[in-house]
Amino acid sequence: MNLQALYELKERLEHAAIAGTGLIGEDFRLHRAVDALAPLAKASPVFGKIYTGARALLTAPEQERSTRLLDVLSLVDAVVYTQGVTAVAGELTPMEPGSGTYVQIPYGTLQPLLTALSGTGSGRTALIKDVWTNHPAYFRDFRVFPHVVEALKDNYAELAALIGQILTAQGRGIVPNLKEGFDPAGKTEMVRRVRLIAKLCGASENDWYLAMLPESQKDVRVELIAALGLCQENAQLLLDLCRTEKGKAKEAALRSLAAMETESAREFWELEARKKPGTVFCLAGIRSRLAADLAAISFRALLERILKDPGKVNRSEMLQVLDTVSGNQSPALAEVWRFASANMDEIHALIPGNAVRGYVLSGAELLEHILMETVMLNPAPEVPALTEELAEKNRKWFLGCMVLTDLLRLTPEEHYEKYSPLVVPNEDEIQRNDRIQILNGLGKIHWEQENDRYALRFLIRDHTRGEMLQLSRPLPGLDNRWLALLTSPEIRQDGDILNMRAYTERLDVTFWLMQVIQPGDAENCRIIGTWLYWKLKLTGNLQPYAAGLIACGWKNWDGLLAYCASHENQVMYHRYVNLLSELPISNREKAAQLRELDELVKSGRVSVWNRHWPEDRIQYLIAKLESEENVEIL
Amino acid sequence: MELTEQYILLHAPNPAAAANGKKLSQSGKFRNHGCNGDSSIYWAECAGSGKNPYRTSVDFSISEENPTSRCSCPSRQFPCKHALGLMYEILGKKPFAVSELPEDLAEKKAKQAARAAKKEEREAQPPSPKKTNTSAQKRKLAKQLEGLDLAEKMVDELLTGGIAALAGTSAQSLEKVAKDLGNYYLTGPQNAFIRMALAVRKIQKNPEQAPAHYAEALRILISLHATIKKARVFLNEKLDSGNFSAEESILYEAMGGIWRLEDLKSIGAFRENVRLVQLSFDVSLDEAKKEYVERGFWLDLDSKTICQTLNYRPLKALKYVKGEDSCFDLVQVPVLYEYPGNLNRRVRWEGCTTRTLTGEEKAFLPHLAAKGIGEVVKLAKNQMKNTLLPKFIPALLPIGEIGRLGEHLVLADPAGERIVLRDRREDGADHASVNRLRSYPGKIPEGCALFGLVFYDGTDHRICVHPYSIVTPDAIIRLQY
Repeated sequence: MNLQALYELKERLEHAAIAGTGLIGEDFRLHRAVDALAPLAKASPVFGKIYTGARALLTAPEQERSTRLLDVLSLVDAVVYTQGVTAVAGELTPMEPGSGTYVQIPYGTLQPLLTALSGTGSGRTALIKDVWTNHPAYFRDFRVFPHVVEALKDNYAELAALIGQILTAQGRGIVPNLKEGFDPAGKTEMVRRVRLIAKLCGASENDWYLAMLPESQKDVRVELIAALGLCQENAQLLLDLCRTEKGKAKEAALRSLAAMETESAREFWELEARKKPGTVFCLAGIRSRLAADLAAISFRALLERILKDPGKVNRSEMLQVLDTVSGNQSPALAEVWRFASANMDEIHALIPGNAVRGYVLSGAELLEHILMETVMLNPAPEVPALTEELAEKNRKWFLGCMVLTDLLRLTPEEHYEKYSPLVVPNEDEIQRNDRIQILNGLGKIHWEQENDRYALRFLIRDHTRGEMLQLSRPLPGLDNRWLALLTSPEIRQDGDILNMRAYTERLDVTFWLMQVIQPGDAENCRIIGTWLYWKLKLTGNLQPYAAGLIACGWKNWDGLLAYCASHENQVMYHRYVNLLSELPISNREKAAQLRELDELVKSGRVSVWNRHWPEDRIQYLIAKLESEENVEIL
Repeated sequence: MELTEQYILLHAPNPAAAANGKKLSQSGKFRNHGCNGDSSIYWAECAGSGKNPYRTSVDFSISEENPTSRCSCPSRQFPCKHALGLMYEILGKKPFAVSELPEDLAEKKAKQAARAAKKEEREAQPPSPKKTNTSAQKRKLAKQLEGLDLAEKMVDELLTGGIAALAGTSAQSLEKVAKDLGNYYLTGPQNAFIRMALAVRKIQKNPEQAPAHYAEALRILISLHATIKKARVFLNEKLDSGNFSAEESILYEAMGGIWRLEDLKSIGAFRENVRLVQLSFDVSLDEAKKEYVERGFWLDLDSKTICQTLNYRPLKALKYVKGEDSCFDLVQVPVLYEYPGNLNRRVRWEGCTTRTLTGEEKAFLPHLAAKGIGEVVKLAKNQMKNTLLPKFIPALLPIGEIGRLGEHLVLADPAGERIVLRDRREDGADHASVNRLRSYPGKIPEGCALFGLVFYDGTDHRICVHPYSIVTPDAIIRLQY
């Protein structure tokens, strides 16, 4: 049955309700719709009823029209509902299974997470971080995942970075979701999508990068061109782009081209570098043979200028050149390093450090630092060989790099055997320099509890983002004999050892020891714990050492609070109560320490900072702690 | 009794309280754990911010479904986070020393026992006939009739001038009339006017969305018109017959009547020992009533029907009204109260226990689906043509296949009958689930069932299903919450 007349009547009746029943008399469309229903009215009683009702509405006096209109509309509505169709013809295409999972997440957790991912305002990063820490599986849930991808467009860089981290952890399976709805002319969200795809898939998605490139605009184009550098097949295209693109896109093309191992790419770049030497600076962070060779040219030129006319060397330009050298290696670059090695003392003298003007390192120290970065960043076997060669020729400047190289390639025992004899202090100035270099290398060792390993940590600049990144290279271990040696009575007073030197930080050996505490190693904890306790007794200051001693599982805490208070000759209530709450001792022992402290105060042997010593609270705490009751000390 | 995390969540006033209780338990704030000989009362001390710990107890001795929680903390939430934390301590099988009840707890228990004894005594006596203040009831009915006249007059005026003629001031006057209707014990029609005023305001705010809001306003008007007509007959009959008690009629709620559990019990609208499994949970904001509506759809394993729970949380009292959450366990309800209605009745209960669903029970769930799409559509049409009832029905449909047809997703039942899967616009964007279904993880095999709302979409005169969950033999995969 064709119900078009009924639907038209419904529409006209609704229109009459919107326009007002006062106009029904003049509504010729409504009249026509009612007339059109006449054939249907004959076919079925219910349509007949509608028809009669509608006709009555048209002729009804004004005061009755509203009721009649609603009566007819109710009836039409009811009939329309009953005439609703369900049939759909055609062949069904099976649904493609989605890539996510299903996790039983209660509304109370899921809804705030979805709101945080797709909403705006503050407080969202903390919530997402919390869920990511405690329930990482939630982010693979098929209801959550699309919102995670959507959150890449967030304006908060910190949140977007967290989302990037979450998505990276999901692996390559998410790439189809990242491609879905991708807009090559889009904004930040699309840039982040390309970056993620490139990070997860590298050259394997080259076809997609190529497919997206023609329609891409602005930053998305820059990112796509950067991704093209991941595949050697793009050399010719990148050459073309270097000629046609402008601004950031051209810079990206040049960077990507530098990653190509073709003659044409080399020829282009060499020409470009000759025409505009500054262009080479955009290669910072690119690690390839070509980039290394280009860096070698500008590095050599820089060194020659320093030696010839140091006054004309701009420090920021020097840093730009060294950024291109960092992490790269090639025979040409090795040759320049040899040249540098031969002139290190001169460079040190010509480009001195000047802390007042904001740069601590001299020119030679900077070079040493760049070689250390290269050791950390570049695992190629040529790098250790070069370091070894440079250290042999110029021990004074490159032993530190050698120490790092050996930390990475030797066993902890071999490393100790090789370098420990050089650490023992004596009057020899050369050996003093060796000692400083070795300590400098050791200072970069950290125990990473989260990874259950020792690692070398180094701060490097991420040139693509302009941010500092912490690089971590796992170590085979740390020989505990180093700890014993550096804390032994015969060398503990040595100035160099007490001031382990690192270029980017001044590191006291005590704090180095605290960064290498391995809680599961009894010997390590014993040595470091003993040292920290000695330091504590020496300084009478518990605060800097408490955390380290607790991490070492130190047991002997007797009378320490009172000892420190006597040593300082003053007691600060909040500081001492804070320390007391952290000590890993029983409540009774805490009560004893607090009582001792209280007696010191009462006897007037120590003064009270700001005269704040709440006697009632202290007595209450002592009583509660003595009775082993649960009490909040703070 | 098997204490499950779901049990704790069900008894928590809101998910945050349960989460806070869990944190207290995980951070070891509880001490001096104790329980009585038959492990029906548990107590412990929980460290708080003050110098004295809070004394907390959970008492299952009177009712396992509805435990009594006590705490010395000043919180107005019941159970408070400390009592919930104590439940987590029980769940975590922390050692509870069997001992005598602490003095304060014993005192409270004695008082509770005395109250229970008195109550039992009262219940043992034949119930005295409930006195009805006939004249007051008559006055109320007369007032309601008066209110219906006022509402009808307003509808009449509204239609004479036309909905489009409503400007800002008219919307305000509509709200004023709505407010006045509160004096006539007619909260149902009152809400209808508020909704219409809201629709008008939305039209003023977003003129491009006017057709949808006009349609909404018209739907409300039609329903209001039917309520007025039927309510007038209903109230006159009541006046004539002198029957003033609550009756099993949907009109009672349409006029704004609120059912109390005792009223439902008095009309026999309750069932005992019911087993329920939640199919879906969702929350929406009712802008007109300024309250959150927390809705759960449940499958009754015994009667094989679908019922729903509706928890209203006014924005002004969010802190004080218990919030519901998704429930993944089987809920055993000693007494289930049912609201008047035919299909998918609203239900409530006072206390319940939970347990995890067995493998057999899970496998059985898809078999509780309707026979086919045709059967469900017939029921839906029957309900939708009644102006007083919602324009959708929740249904569990058997899955033969779900596939794409052009831009639509289509469900075919095992007999090959088809229905389009589509989001119901009235539910709002936050309820959209068709796209979620498109990215459903894995394949949906035949033999599963789809739970959703069957509704009419006027844009193409089609009956569609808004999918809410997929019920497989292993799990209920929720597209909502």
